[in-house]
Amino acid sequence: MLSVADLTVNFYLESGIVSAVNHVSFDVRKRSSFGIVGESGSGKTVTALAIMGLLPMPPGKVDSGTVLFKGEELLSKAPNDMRKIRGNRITMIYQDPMTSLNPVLRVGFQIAESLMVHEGLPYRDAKSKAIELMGLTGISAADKRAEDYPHQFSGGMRQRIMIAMALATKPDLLIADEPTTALDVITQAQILALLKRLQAEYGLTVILITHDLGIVAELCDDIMVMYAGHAMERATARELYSEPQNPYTRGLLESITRADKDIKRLNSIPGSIPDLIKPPKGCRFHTRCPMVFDKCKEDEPPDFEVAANRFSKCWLATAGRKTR
Amino acid sequence: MGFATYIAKRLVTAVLLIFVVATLNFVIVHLAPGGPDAILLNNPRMSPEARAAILKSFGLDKPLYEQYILYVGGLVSGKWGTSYFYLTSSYAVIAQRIPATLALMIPSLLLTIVAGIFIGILASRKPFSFADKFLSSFSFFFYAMPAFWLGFVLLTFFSLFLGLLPASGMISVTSTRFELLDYLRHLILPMTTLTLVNLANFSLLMRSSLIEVLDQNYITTARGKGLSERLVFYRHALRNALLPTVTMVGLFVGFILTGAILTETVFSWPGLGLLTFDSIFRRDYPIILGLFFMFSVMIIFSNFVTDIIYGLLDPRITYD
Amino acid sequence: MIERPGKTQPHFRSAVKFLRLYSRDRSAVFGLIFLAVLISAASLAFALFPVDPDMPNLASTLLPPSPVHPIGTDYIGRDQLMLIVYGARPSLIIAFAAGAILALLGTITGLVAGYFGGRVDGSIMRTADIFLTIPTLPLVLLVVAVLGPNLINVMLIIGLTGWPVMTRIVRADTISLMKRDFIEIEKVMGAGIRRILFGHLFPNQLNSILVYTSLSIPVVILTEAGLEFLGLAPISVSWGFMLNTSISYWILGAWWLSFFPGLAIFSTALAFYFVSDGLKAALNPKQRRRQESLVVQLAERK
Repeated sequence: MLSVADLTVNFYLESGIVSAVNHVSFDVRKRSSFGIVGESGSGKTVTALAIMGLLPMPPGKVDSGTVLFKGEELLSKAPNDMRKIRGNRITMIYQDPMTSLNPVLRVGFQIAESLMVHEGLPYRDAKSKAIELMGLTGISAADKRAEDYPHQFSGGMRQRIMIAMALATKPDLLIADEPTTALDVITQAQILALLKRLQAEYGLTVILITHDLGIVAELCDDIMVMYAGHAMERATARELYSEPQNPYTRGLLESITRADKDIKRLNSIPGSIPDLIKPPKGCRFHTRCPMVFDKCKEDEPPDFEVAANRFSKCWLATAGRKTR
Repeated sequence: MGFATYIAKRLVTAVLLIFVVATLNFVIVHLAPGGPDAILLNNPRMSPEARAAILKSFGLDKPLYEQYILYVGGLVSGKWGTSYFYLTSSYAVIAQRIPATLALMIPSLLLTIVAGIFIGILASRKPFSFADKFLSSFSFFFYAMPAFWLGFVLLTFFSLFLGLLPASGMISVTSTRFELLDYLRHLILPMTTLTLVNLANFSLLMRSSLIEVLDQNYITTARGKGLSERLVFYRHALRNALLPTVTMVGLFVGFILTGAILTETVFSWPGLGLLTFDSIFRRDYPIILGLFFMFSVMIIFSNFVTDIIYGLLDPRITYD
Repeated sequence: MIERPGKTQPHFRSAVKFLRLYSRDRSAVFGLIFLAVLISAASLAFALFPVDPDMPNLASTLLPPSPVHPIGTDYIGRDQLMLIVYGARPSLIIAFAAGAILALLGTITGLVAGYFGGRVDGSIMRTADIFLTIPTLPLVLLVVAVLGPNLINVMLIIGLTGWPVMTRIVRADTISLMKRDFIEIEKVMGAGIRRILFGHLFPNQLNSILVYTSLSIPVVILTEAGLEFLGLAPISVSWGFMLNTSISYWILGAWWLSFFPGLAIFSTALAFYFVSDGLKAALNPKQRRRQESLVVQLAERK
């Protein structure tokens, strides 16, 4: 469905060049759910914005890479053509439901808008579809609530509205950027369950962006771990959790509790993410890596294919051979 | 909160403010050297009977708190004393001048708002462009510009040197009735003066409001839906950016009123501003006091009206 | 990370840095030069024009600009250039005095409101709001007209009506400073109000106080000129008053009576504005980075 190859996004600022995404590649299979995991500042959202064509282009620039969506190259598309795809074939839901809806427009209208713009539906029809969608995403008394404004809904409800908005045009690909980060745990579970159900019902392909390893384990088929703009590891969920092939991934996994293991201590990865304007030379994780050696400090490792469709960006991994 | 509660709160605040202003009025009258007698009574042209009447209505021989009640009551009911110069009710003199001032203020205010919104939109569409930088320069130029000087400069240029536009007044001295074209000819220069000084500021505020809105998350959401930039800007951004603008209008009514005082003086426009100037010259205290109260009430009232309009437009206030 | 307490004012080395940053803004430099010239001329008025400024010279009334009288003479024959120079004195005095009063009042109320919070804060801000609603010029008019038009009154009243804006800013800064670690440390160590207020809260805001005071001086100048224009300040030689007397003579064609004094007011206000801009750039260099820091935050958050 989606093929990203060698994507590099930089922000050109007065204070320097921020290297936000650096030579990232990944493939998303049709009808699968693909997780992008990483700390804040790892470049996950920038990647998503690049796919959608939503990057602020004056400071931002895609300096390399291709994004193939169903065979079409997105990055070189004319803005008008991209607009036909955005919000239509590829849709996105965002991190903060409290601020992501327009406060002065009615909720039903905001959902219906996509239908009016992309499918040319008159308002009346679009609105009844919107009400249907609201019901589908678990909002009761949808016909009345469609006339309400965002501030009259709770955070969880607003996220449901966003989901309804994103599914209105029956997209092929849905990108969910930290959809539950701003919500409480219970609502989180509800929203995730909803997403899972809708994905199955609509046959969606989903890219889920999050920093929460637990969520990714539950929902995703394939996972990409990002750090400081690099794609550190790519694998299926099962492979990643059982046998991580990258020290960063390993560090992350060791810092969470697991139901399937008896954990006595949680280890956090010492240090903090590097400054993206002056990233460290070589592997960007080398300043915090417990297994660092000289080569890591000098040369950036390539994406080694350690097994079929498994990649790890680490000098300890080598092609065709899984490391410890 | 509910709309009704919102309006009630605003109304109460407005009324309270009016009382504060009235009290201020009263305090100042009593702080004056010579006391309230000098301010309210001391007019050699007044007949003894008139003087006695004033004494009675303001209760100047009564204790302070009684005077206060009489005074505030008088303000509210239109008993603003007797003008030294005109020898009639101050209120009547002042009220008679209101239409002329409105005839200057309202066109200027409208022009400021409309042009300000337009320019603000232009500047925010292309931030840091040439047009935008021009606007910024334009605005501080007028921040430091004395309104009365601008009036004179325009007068000198258009009236004295070019002889194109009339030099004073609202209508020609020779005309006997009101004619629209004549009024408009007289209106151009004072209105331009009054508008220019406020336009730059207003546009700048509009621009920053827009830029702030365009930074918001829901604009990203709108773009993410594949909407055209035009739709995103006009339907999503502008609607939100106009809200704080409504509040700003209330502020600008105050500026335009103050500006009108100065502008009317320069152009001999027969409104409240010119009355202020003349009354100061003539030391006509009852009128000066009445004018202050009038100005304050006008501003408090316009703030109240803009608050209502804002409440109507912002769904966060209208609905729960 | 524990913060170090202390002042963040410029020290000697930073003074040089300050000058360098300030000079980057050309208009700020021009403004400063203009003001320097103006202040010197005003101080040396007696030397430059050793005549009594009030003395009429009825032989040369209402003369248009000429080599002898570069900007003409007024209705009683006085040379306008002389009047402009003498007129600078009240304007500058009032500008600085009222500005100082405004800054003092605004800073004290802002500090008090921010430090004590609660009811004290509430009542101060409510008073400030009242002052903001009441239109300044009419209030000043009223007070000066009724209480007597003299220099002290004018200075006082302009300062007294201008404080709310400063209060808001100082209060906001105080509140955000109060949240910082080092204040908590001081409180725990038993530091008294005076030490916290004068040792930490105030010095850290000195820069912005300075900037906003200089920013409000143009308004002070315009208000004062407006007062004189309306005849409320009997300073016989002042720019605003020159404009006042020029009204009647404009009809006779004496445009220079209004043009030059007004130009003086405008240029001085503009100069102060430029200077405040320069101060802002020199004292708060971080402000310029705001636009890009947002983008950096954007990038890093993702």
